[in-house]
Amino acid sequence: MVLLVTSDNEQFNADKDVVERSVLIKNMLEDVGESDQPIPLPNVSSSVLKKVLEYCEHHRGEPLPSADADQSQDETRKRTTDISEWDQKFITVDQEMLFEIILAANYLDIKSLLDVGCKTVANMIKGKTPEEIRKLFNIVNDFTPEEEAQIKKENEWAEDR
Amino acid sequence: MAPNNCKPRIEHSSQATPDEVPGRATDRAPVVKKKKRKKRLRGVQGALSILCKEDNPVPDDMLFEICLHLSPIDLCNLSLSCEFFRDLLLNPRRHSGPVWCSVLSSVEGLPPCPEDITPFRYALMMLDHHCQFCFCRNAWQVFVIARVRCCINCAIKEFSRYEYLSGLGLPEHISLEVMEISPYREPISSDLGLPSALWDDAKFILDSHMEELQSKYNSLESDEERQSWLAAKALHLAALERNASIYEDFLQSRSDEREDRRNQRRLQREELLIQKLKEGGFTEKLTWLPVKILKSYVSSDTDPNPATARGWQKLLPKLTAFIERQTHEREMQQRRDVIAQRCRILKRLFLSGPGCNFNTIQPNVADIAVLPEIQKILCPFVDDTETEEGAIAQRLMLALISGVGGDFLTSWWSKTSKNLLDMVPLPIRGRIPTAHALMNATLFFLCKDCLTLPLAYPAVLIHTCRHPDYASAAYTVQDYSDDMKYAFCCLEAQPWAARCGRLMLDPSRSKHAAAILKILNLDARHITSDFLYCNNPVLVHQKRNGSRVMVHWNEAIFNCQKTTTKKALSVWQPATPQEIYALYQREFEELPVTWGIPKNASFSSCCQSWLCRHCNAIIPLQLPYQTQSDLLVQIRIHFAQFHQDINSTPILHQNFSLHRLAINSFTRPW
Repeated sequence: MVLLVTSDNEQFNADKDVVERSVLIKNMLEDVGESDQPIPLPNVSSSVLKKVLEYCEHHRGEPLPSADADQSQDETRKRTTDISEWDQKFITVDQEMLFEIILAANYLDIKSLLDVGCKTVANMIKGKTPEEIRKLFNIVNDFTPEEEAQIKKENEWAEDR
Repeated sequence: MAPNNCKPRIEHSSQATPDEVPGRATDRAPVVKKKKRKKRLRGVQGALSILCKEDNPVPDDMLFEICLHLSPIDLCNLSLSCEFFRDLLLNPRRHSGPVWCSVLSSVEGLPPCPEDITPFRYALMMLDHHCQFCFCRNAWQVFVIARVRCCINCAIKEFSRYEYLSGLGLPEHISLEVMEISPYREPISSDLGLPSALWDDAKFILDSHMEELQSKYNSLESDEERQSWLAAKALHLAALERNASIYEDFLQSRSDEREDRRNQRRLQREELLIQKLKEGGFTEKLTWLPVKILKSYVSSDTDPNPATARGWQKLLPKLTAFIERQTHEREMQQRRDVIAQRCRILKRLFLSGPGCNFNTIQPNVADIAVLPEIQKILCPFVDDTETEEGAIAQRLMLALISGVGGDFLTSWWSKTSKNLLDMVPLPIRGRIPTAHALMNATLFFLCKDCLTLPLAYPAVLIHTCRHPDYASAAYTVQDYSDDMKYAFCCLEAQPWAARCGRLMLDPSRSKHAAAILKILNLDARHITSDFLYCNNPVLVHQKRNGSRVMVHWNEAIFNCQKTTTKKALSVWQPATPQEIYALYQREFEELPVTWGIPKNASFSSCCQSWLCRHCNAIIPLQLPYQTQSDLLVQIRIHFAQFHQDINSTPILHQNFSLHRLAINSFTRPW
């Protein structure tokens, strides 16, 4: 069992093979060796870690993506936004939690969870106009119409290349 | 969230006040006192807006990770959503190049992004359908060499014709060399259904391109630099021309795919429409309704969609109205079909049944079908849809035998001019005259009153006299109801319309006729054919062996082709009255008894005389005959003088028929 401490000082006990889905924790465990010392996770809150552990628990035993395989499968993985049914249910959370999970997955280096989070956000953006994207994510439009037009017309980057 | 996290707007437009922005000023309430306004922000910052913060915890790589799952157009839209994403995705310092490459490569078949254009613009040019000038959504035209996607209006407005520029149209500040190396647009596709003036093969150059290139050209300091720059641009233009087909092929394939998808959507809508109609209780009607027209209500993407409740609500009234119209039309059509079918059966009955004893003349069903009595038999009630031929034939036969048929036969007979059929020589005519034979016969005649040719068709000769005297009495086709007209159409027939037609020989139509007239020493107006009187003179053909063959004038026209030569003419002579009488006497005696002509009152008229059957007197007629009444007066005088004891209706020779009115007038006490 591994003891994890969240940013809000909450402690979580989890099986080693569950938490080792995080490359960050796995490397830490390898570096520290056998120890009862808790692993601090200052960038992850308890509510988010709970969700992350739920994900890891569900995917326990599944093979971790190796670095080589990741390279080869990268293109096809990125081009599809299909998410498994369980993952879809798992990731159906409010936007704040969704971004917390993405940040946590990025921090903990859980590739598959990061992938699910990114795909979910991408799915939300897909097929939407700029105005719809702004509405969806409550982004402030800091362009004037002239600026928008200018962006469409401008070709400065090409000149820079 | 406070809006102060946003980056300041870009420099060139930050000084513009909202009132200066086109399309915005009118949306605002009038401001009495102008204040320096804060930049008005649209929307409320929320969850994703955390990314827009300067100190956002999300690294660029992670954002790029999200972007990798997007399509190029999604990426363009994200770039346009706010300053942060614009900077992230369009600023080369943020290294988003690989993301764009990856995303563009995810589009199947899309050629790699060329170096002279940003991936952002490339994506918009190849995959979007907004005009890059006016941002309308109908920009299906892409000019690959000019790197422009625009609508037709902008294609006309923003470009100048090369020939015009190379003539006097080139602005002073643009040099000819720059114009020559400016990318041009290809001709607009003729598939778009635009005016042909736009299809020409001329080059069109984008004005803003020229300005841009000219300013670059002007910024170069030495002539050498300018020359090398021009050479490089010329090479670049050549490369653009060379590679254009790669991009055009992709655009064409996209266009085809789009068309396929559109067709697929249309098919889906059509299927759904039919399904909904079936569910709505129109299953039976769908078996005969023109489904193709029904489907046209959902053929376009802009038509209401039957899949949605709102779309169906819009469609239903239109469909219902159409189906009602079609149903009514079908009912009318069915009635017309019923009448036409029964007319055909009636015709068959008269041709083969006991009602037909007219030998050489077919009854004209078109004539009889207009008679009210016959219409009652044909279609006695509105919803009579009996189609079984045997049953209809039986019903019609019963009706005809029971008395209505008698009336019908009388009506029909009174309208038929047998005389004209007699104009056709028997060897040609046979039992049933052909249309050709009838035409031959009638081509020699003009209507005496309106001087037009009569029309002929199989069975009965028809003439629609336009003379005003007959206008009120004559039937015209337009007088009939639609269903009767349709029945005539099915029968390829026209109703009798020449109750009072009187035909007159037109000698210019037959040289033989003219020659024979000359032999007979007759004038063309002596040869007439009408209901009352048919003057058909008899000629004698003097053969070499001395025998004399009597031939009717009309048969002489067809049989004696030699009448045009002087020698031939010498063998033809007019028959004497005695010869004519002998001829008719023989014919009369040879008549079968079944004809049942009583001997009590009879006379015959032929050539220039008429023959009383009681006293065998041949009374020459005064020529020319001006009116029908001339003959009637002579007949009356003769009967009054010699045959006062005969009170019954006089019977005419079989070669003639009298108009009913004439008979009535004749039989009145004198």
